[in-house]
Amino acid sequence: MTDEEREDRVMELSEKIYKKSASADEEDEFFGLLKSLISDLRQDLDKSKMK
Amino acid sequence: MNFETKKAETCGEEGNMTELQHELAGLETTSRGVQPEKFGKKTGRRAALLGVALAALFVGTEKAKARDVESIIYSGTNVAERIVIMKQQRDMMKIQQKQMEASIRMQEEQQKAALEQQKAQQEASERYLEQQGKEQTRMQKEQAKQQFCSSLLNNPDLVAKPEMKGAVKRCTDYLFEEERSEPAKPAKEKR
Repeated sequence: MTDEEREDRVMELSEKIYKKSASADEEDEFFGLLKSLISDLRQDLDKSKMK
Repeated sequence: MNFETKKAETCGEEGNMTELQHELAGLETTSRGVQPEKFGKKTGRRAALLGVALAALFVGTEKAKARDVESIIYSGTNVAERIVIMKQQRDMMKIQQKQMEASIRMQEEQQKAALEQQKAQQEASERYLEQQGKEQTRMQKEQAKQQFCSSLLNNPDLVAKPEMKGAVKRCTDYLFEEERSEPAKPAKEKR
């Protein structure tokens, strides 16, 4: 999944979570995407420290 | 407790929340001491996205309010927000720097153009003065020649001398030529 695709999906699922209309599977997917996002962000920050 | 045990104990939404807590705490730790000027565009977008997702989670998940997760989500949102703000500030600084550089370049170009204009004016002025000088010298020479010829031709003793014959002829030719080259006077004046 590309960054753009993940971004679109996170936004889509965020809306569902916000409206409390997400299914259990969608909630799991949402958390999974958030974790991968946080992980990438941590890598970005680590890289920025090393520059 | 290893990861597998922990995962087994915390499944479903509870497990997701616990893992998210863990990830966000890690992110907060990592975010300490980062240098905003080193962030890329992608980092800013990712942080903004995380902020939006966490805000949605906070509003949409009752359990987030019921548990300590509230504070960690707040904290995660703050981290995301801080990264975004840092990036915005960095971008703003970049824009300001570019504007300043453009302004300096423009000033330099204006100065250069002004110097070139000044130089061109100076050169034109020098050329004019040089031309004026040449014209004045030529006129002075002409005047001297005329005076010499007039005084020669008005002196019968000198005209009579054989050694002056050549000079007399040149002066006569010169004065005659000059009269011919003078512009014709208007008819009224002739009368």
